[in-house]
Amino acid sequence: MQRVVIAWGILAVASLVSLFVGPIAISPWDTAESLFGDASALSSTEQTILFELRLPRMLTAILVGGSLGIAGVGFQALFRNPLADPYIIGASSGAALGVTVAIVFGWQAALLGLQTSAIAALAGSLLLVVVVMLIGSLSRRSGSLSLLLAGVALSSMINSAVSLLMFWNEDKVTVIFAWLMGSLASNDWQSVTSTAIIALVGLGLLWSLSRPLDAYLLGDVASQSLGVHLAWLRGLVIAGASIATGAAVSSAGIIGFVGLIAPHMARWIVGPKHVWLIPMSACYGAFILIVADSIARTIVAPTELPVGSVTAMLGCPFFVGLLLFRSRSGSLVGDAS
Amino acid sequence: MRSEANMSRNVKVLRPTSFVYCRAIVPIVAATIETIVRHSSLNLNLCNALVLLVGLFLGCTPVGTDVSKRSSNEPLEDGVSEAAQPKITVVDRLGHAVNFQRAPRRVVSLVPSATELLFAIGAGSTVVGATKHCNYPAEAMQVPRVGSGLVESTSREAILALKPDLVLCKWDTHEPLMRLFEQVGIPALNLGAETLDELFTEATLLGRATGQEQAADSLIKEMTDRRDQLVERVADFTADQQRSVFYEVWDDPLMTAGPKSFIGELLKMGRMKNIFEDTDVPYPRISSEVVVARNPDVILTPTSHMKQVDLATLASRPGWANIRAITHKQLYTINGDEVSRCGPRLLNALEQMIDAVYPETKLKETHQP
Repeated sequence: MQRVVIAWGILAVASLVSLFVGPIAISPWDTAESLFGDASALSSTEQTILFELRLPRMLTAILVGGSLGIAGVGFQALFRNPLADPYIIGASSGAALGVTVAIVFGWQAALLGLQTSAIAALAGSLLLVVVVMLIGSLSRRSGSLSLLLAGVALSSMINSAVSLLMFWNEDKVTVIFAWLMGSLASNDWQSVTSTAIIALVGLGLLWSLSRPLDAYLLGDVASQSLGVHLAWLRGLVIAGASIATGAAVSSAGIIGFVGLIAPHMARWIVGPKHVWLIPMSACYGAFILIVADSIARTIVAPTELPVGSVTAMLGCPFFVGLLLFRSRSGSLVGDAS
Repeated sequence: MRSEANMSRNVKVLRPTSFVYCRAIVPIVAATIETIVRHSSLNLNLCNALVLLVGLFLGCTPVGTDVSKRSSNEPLEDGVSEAAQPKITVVDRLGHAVNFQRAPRRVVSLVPSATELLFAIGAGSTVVGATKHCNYPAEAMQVPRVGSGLVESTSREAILALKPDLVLCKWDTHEPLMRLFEQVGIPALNLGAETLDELFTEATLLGRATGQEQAADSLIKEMTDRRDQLVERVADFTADQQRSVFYEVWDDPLMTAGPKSFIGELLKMGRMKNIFEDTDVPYPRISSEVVVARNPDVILTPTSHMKQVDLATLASRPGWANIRAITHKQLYTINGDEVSRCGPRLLNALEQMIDAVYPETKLKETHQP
C-alpha cells in the first residue's frame, strides 16, 4: 500500500515539474507568486504558454499515458500474453491509415475539439478493431487466437496500404512520418476534454471487468466454471481497451512501448489483481509519458522530437534495470498476495 | 560486347580451370541469391552487394557489374588522342565530367527544377522524358512521364526506351541510376540546385551542354538583375528595423523552414528575421510555445496545408490569438510550387515574400516594368 502511494506521489511531482520544463524557461517561484499574490510576476506570454499550452499538454500526457497503460493491461489479459500491447489487433495501423488518407487527400473536419488528423486516427483505429472482431466472431475457430491472427494479418495489409500511399505522395512523407511517430503538441483545452471523456469510458469499462478478468487468466475452462461468459467478456474487454487506445491515438498519434511496459511495472508493485493493476498501470503509463514528453520538447529546443521515439529510448533502459533488480515476479497470474 | 571483351582480358590471368569455374558458377549463385533475397523481401541493394561479394569470393567479377565502369563515353585520359576531340565538356556538381560530340537532342530530366531550367533557356524541345512533378511550363506537361523522381518509382526501362542522349539526375539520391547510365553509355549529369548561385551554375552548365549558352547567359543576367532589384527594395532595413517572420511549412505537426533550407535563404535575402534562425535541420518540427514566445511580426506559409490556413484558424490555436502577426492580420500565403522548387521561378517567390512582409516598398517600385 505504501508503494502505491509513493508511485502516485511521484506522478504528481513529475507532472508539476513538467509544467516548468520546456524550450521557454518559466520560473516556478514567479508562477507561485502570480497565482497567490502579484499577478504580474509572470509576463503575459509566459502565462499564455503555461496555461494555454503546457497545462493542457501535461494533462493530455497523463490521459494518453494512462489510457495506453490500461489498454495494455486489457490486451495482455485478453490474449493471456505478456507481449500484447494496445496496438496488437491493429489499432495503430488503422490509425496510421486514417491519418495518411486524411493528409494525402487534404481532408478537413473538426469534431468535439479534435483535429482532422485526430478524428481520422480515431475512426481508422476503431474501424479496424471492429473489422477484426467481426472476422474473429465469424471464424469457425473460436477464442482469442483467431482474433490475434486476424489482427496481425489485417495490420500487415493496412501497413502496406500506408506505405503505398506514402510512396505515391512522397512530398508528404515527412509530414505523415512525423505524425506516425507521435506528438502531444497539438492539444488544447477542448481536445483535453474530449480525450478525457473517451479515456474515462475505457477506464471505467475495463475496471468494472476486474473480477471476471482475474478469473479469465486461469484459462478458458476454469473461468467458465467460475461463471464467466467468455464471448461477452472478450467483446467487452476489446471494446474497453480499444476505446482507451482510441483516446490515446486521437490526441497523440502512435506512441509505442508505454502500453507494453506500464502493466509489467505495475504488476511488480501491486501484483496481478486487476482491481489494483488497472489504476497502477495508468499511473505508470502517465509517468513515462510525462517524462518522455518533457524531454522531447526540451532536449533539442526550439525544435521537437517525436515523443514516440523518446518513450522507447528512455523507457527501455529503465525497464531493463527493473527487470534485473526487481524483487517480485511479473508473470500475468503471478505469485502476489 | 565491350564489357565481354574487357571481361575476358581481365580474367585471362586466372588459370583456365578457375576461369571456367567462375564463369559457370557465378551466374548460378547470383541467381540463387537473388531469388532468395527477393522472396524474403530484403533490400535489392543488399542483393547486389551479396552477388558482388560472392563474385569477389570466387576470385572474379560477376558478369554485368563493375567491369564496364570505365566505358565508352568517358575515355581514359591517355586514350583520348585517338578518338575525335569532344566538342563540349561539362562538369556537374559532383565533379563528374561528361563529353559530348554534339549537343544532346533527347534529354530525360528527373529533376523538376532542371526541367524548368531547360524550358527557360529555350532547350525545352529537347526534353523527351520527365517526372510527374515536372508541371511547369505548360509544354512540360506534354512530355512523357518516367516516374515520380524517386529512385524506386522511376522506370529505368521507360528511360532507356526513350533513347536519351542525356539524362539529368538528382545529385543526392539518384546514384543507382547514374551507375546504370554509365554502364550503358548514356551521358548523365548530377543536378539539383539548392541556392540561387547553384541555380546559375546549373543554368550555365545546361546552356553549354545544349548549345544554348547565350540564352542561359541572358536568363542569368535577367535573374541577377531582378534579384538585385528585389534586394535593393529592402536594402534600407537595418537589423533592428527588420521584421520577424515565422514561415509555417506545415500545421500538424507544426513545421518551419530553418536557415539551412532554401526558403531560409530567401528569408535572409529579403532581409527578414527568421524566428527559427537557431535550428539546424532544414525543415524542423517546432514547439508551438516558441512561436508564441518569439511573437513574429508576419506569418508566411505555402498554399499546401493540412487545414485551411486563415487568420481565424491560426487565432484559434492555443495562445496564438495574441501573436503580433495575428493581431495585426499579417498572414500571407505564397505559391507552394514556386517557393518549394529552386528553379527559374524562384524569384517570384522572393517577390511575393517581400511584397507581403515589406508592402511599403512595393509602392516605390510601381513605375518600374
